[in-house]
Amino acid sequence: MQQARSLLSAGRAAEAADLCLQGLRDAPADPALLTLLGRCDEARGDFEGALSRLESAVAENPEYLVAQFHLGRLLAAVGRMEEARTCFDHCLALDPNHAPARTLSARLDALAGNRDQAIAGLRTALRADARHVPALSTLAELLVEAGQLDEANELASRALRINPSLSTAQMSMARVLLAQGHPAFAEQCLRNASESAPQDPAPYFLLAQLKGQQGQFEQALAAFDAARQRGHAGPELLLGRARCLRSLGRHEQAREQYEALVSHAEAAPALILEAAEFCIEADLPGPARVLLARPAVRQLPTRILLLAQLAEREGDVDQARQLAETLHDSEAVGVATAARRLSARLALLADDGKQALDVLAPLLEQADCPVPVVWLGAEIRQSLEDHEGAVASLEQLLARPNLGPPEKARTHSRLVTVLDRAERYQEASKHMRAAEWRAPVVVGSAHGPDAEAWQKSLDGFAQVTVANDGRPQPIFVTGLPGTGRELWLAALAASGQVLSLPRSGFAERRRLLEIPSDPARVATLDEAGARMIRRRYLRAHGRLEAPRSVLLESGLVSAIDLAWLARVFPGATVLAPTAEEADLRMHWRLAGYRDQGQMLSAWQSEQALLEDLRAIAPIDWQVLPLGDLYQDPGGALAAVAGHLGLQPDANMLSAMDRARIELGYRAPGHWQHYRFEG
Amino acid sequence: MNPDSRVDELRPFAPRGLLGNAHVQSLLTSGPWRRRRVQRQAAAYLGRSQRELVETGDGTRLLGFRNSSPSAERREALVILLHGWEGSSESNYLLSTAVALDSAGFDTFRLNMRDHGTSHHLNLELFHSCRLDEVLDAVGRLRQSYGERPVFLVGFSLGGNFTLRVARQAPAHGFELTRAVAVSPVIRPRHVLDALEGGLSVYQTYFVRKWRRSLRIKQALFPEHFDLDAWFRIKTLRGQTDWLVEHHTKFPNLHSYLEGYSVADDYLAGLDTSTLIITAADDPIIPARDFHELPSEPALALDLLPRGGHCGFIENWRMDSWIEQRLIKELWPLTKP
Repeated sequence: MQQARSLLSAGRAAEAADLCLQGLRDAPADPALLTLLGRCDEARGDFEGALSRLESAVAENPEYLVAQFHLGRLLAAVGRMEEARTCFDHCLALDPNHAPARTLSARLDALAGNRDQAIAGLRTALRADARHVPALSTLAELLVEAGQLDEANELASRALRINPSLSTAQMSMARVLLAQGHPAFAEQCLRNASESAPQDPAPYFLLAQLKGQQGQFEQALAAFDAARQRGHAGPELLLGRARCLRSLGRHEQAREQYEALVSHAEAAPALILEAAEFCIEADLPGPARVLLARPAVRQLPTRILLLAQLAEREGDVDQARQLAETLHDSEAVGVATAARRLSARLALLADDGKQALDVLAPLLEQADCPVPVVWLGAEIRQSLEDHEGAVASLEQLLARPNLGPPEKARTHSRLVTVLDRAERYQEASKHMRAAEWRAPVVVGSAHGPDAEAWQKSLDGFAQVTVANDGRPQPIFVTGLPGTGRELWLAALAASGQVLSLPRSGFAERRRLLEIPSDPARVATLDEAGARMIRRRYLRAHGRLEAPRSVLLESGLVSAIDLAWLARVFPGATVLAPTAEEADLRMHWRLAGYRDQGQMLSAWQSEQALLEDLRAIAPIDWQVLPLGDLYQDPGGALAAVAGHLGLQPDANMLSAMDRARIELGYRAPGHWQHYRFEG
Repeated sequence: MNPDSRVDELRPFAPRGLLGNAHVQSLLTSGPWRRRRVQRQAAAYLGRSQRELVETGDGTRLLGFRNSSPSAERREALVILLHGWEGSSESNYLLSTAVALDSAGFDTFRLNMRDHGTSHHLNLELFHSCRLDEVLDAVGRLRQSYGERPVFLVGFSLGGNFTLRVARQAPAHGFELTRAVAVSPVIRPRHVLDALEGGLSVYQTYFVRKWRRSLRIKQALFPEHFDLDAWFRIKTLRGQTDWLVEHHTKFPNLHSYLEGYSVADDYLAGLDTSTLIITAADDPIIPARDFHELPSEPALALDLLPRGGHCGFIENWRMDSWIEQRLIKELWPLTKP
């Protein structure tokens, strides 16, 4: 018996089982041997066999506590909670100080929602055995739920000191530290736990959730995948993956996850709505409508809101307006607010500022009016030339004591815009530093690529020939915000002859294009490789149907990636909007970009690389100075359209004009109104 | 603001009533009453802070927070701030000083020493005060990354001690600081330990509590590497330090460890970095005689004020700090907008 126990502890369950079977030949009803054999079966993954052996052991001798306990533990593991509880009750009747049985019994209480009872049970277990680590860890986790963080920390620490290598103790410590606001410490504990129990999916799953909360979606996804590889298969994992993929713009994969989640008839309404919202965001109106037609969500106000958003996306403004209006007084406060915001935005787009303001009025009158509503209100007032009103509302917002730093920075940014429009430049400049909220757009890096590798990639173009395999060549657009890039994209996308690939799916397209690329690979890409990438990208995204004849890639690529794309699509057209440095910096200041110095260095470095590339790569370059666009927008647009074989139309010009206003573009030389140091 | 006006505005430090008491000064500076006020004043500043990890040559990772000043009168100068033992980049005195410097146009970098702030997970081995190289290297990297513009180093208490050592070693490490300022720095550590043991028990209790919390975190994060149960049973700072020296450093005994980070005697002889020490004669933790015994060096200036306690220099019951204005006065003339 002793030898069998040792073998089982050493993970040699099969050998241990053989010894037990030998023993049972002499004593077929020995409950201790039957129990041990049951545990061997369990260790080998044979739960049915294990249950059968343990039940035999208990039947043979109901007073044999070890069998009762292991039977209860296994029953709980397979979800037979009531039977498990009966076993633990037997154990405790035999030995009231049996800490493991008390602990598992308390866990059953916790699972049944009786947290206080569970906590009391665990405290009793610890009175019986103060060093029982499962009781310490479980109690720590329940105290986290109850908000008693100091005691939870003390207990989790004690559990770890007693058994430093136990992954469940490390997980409990992680949960405590997370609740105490120390995600970095929690992450370290989870890494310890995954090292202690490499095949346990739980630490990876918790790590994935943590990374997702921190907005580190790539890492979260990797951790979800690690949990899945280790056997985690719950719907919460699918949902976590779907959200990560959605946040990363990998819409195709996100769609697969959402589809799997909502494929069965009993899918939760909240999940269906989330999937529909995703479909709207990913420009998948058909699937969105199908989801919103499901009976489970038919009575929910959020469904109407999503239908309104869908109508707006599809350009059916009247329908969007009508649907949103029905929700203005919804009892679901969040829905009513979102609906009023949508209505106000639609009115603003229709140049009806007064109507927009009327719609928002009930919200703006509230002392705790949501911050985005105040911002929208200011924008509307600005459109009505009520600069004073816009400034006053934003200043009132800044005076709120509980306004968070990101919201404060964005409010300053909006003040900058309003004051600049009102030609109150001195006041605007005072807010500029505090208005830096927008993440910098850095393409490439200030240091540039390895010079030798870059030169090698340029040399590689000597052998390139322009292939004509009958496939369309996409148009690429370089440039940073402020160069006019967004204006060209808006104008071209408005043409009925252009298929513009949305920026939201660019992460997925980057993957197909195999970028970011390595300059060392550029020189070695052969035509067969280029053809394969071309085919994959165009098959997924570039199916042109009349009247669309031009494919526009809206994603922003670096010079290094452009060198790669010049090999994949030799002869493609690159539109290269450009602006004077002073105008660019003015635009970034007004737009509230952070780290403008970094943006500028990277931009200058990129410009140098693009010059190199322009001299040698087989690409049709069209340099588009911002000044020309301002001097004669119609002429500039007609020239580009003509070059691309498009028929310029009024839609393109008005789209460009709308983008210019929405994005806060100012005429070249606007910076002369300001005096900046440095 | 005109720099001259800043210089003129600084009144001598003359605390009145209870604020003239060294213990009141020392306890108020880190206390919860001041904390609420400092946190409120620092909310926007903290919102703009950028978290950075500084990786040093030996692979040590130190956590810091960088702020670019939004002031219309930027000084184009960086102040690196070092906290005291068991303090952090969020300590009242450090944060309050950082906010004042930020408003005055200085860029700031609040550097956490190993195992301080929320950085216990970044390195396996424990912090001790003789780990100068990593701080020296980190300051050097921050200095170099700021280009040709002025870079200052300001440290408090043990951070002041590190400041003096970094100032002394910087040229040999290949970088220069525009000026270093050490506020209430530890000079001879064994005297500090004596003072903590012989003085009001509140100081020893304060440090023991914070150190226990810190090591509890360390043990939780690396449970298989540290078994500190024996350390947790020791009640005094001397006993605890002694135990850690024996079990977690290469020093043969407590004495040699304490001398290992002393800047007394001739440590500062040959100091090239322009350095200022500001301290108070009534500091209950750092004996004033340690300052009198420092060598006379052209690059080293000492401002020994009669009052101020340990890192106190609280001017009034609104908890305004005189030291912040003093630092601005010191650094402002060395910059240009």
